[in-house]
Amino acid sequence: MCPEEGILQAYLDGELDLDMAVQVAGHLAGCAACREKLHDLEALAAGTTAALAPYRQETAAAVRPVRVPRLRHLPHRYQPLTETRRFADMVQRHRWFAGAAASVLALSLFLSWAPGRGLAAQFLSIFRMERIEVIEITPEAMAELGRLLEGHGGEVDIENFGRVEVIEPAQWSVEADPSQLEALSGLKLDLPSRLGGWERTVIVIEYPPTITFAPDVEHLNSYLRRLGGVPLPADLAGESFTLNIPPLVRVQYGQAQVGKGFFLYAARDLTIDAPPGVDGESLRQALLGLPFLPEDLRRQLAAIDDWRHTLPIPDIQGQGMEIHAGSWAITSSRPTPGIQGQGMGIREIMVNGNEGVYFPYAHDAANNITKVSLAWRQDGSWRAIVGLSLEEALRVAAEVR
Amino acid sequence: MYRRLHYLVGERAAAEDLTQEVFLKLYRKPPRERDNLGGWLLRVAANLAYNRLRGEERSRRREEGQYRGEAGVIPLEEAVIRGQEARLVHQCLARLPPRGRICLLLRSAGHSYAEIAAIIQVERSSVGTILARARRQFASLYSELEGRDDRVSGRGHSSGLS
Repeated sequence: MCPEEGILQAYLDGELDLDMAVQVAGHLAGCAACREKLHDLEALAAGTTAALAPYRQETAAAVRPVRVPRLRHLPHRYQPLTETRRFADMVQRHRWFAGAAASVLALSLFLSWAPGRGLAAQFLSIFRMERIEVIEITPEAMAELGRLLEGHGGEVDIENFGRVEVIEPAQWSVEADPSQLEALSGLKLDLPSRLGGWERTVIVIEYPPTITFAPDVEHLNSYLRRLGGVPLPADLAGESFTLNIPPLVRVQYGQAQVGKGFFLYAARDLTIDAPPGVDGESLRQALLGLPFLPEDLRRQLAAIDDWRHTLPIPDIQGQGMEIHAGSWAITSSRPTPGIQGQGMGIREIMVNGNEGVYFPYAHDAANNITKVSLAWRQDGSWRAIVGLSLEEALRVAAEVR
Repeated sequence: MYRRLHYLVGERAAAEDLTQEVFLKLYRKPPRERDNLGGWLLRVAANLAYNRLRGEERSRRREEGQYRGEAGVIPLEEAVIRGQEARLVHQCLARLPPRGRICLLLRSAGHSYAEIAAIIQVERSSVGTILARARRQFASLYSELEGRDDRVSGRGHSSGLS
């Protein structure tokens, strides 16, 4: 059953909740017609946005007169996607966390993984994310940061603070055979043909983009000084940082996209490439001093001790999610029945003797179970299970080597 | 605030009126949470703009739909828009149903589905459908009107003259 247009549009905009996004992604991997539709919607969005630009500038001219540039005719404006895409677009593609959560995650990456293993390091520094820590964030702060990352933050627009370049992979995803898995993903995984009572149905490898961030040191510093913040080290000018997101292996057991079965994910560690000789600690202090950061978020990010190796996971307060198994409908954000407390309810937990996190995202009323997303780190890579109850997920996790 | 309203309703006089109205609302009935005043103001502005557009739509229907662009007279409002493309966009937006128009413009200004849904009073799950439809309508109006614009400015003029 193909999702309707509105669902694809919401998927494109990162407005589906995690489970739905996973379902749609699963469907897209196997349905060329829907991929085509998605591509058309994307081109339509790019075309209308481009066409609206001169109008936006004219209506803004009341304060700031802008010469309206002559644009080419519309057919040329409906251009296929370019190699370098805007940051926000990339964020919407990132399927581990849907929508705004992904924006905050990406922002957290830049803020808390300030690179540089110390002044002595004269070669490229690389950090591996080996720990996880849950960061609580309010929906308001989230919306604010989302707007910022989409380029609508006015003066505190991320575009004013540096250049973010996103290089798309040659292909977004590819279906794989268990024997090709290691060659395609760099992961050694033993995938049983049956797990948790479900047959293995399909293995897909998703290739994420590479993100490079080059801070506009001069601009940032004049802004920081004006507001009494700590300026960035001057030798950072012209340098850039590259965030490498490894390929993501998505294995479907049963018919997980219709709620019968589950998804198993695996990926190597995320790494950041930083220029040599950068003083990481002072960069981190400066970034944490950015005035637009919500105070609460700043405090929590600053409190992470082993920040070089810690992946912050945002927990949005008051955002319960509910979805009915097997239906394509988006349901509104309200607390999941039977789940107490605030937030998405992200909790830390030990999985196979390793650090992990889980959060409930759906209540399957038919079977009266609460489904969770469980993620943990094992043997130098990340694993996640989405679509089972916590007890079942832990049981399956013990079988995954 | 004025800029945002001008962007949404497309007319300066209306945008000025509505700007005043937004600030009057702020004085009379300030929001409870003070932290997100900017967000509150934008939300109120979008609500007012949407109501205004719907009101216009109703009165236009009563007047048996005399479409302004088609009479060959450029309304004053459009004469002050200098850029040809911006004028074209203005004409296309004027022909979109208010709901689609507001949805399209709010999304382009970075609002989330939840915010848009609250303003145009639909379920959040309908926003994607409305947005895609409005964009498609806009794109087809744009290419249609753009073709006519070319003729007016003389590029495709040969037909009647030889």
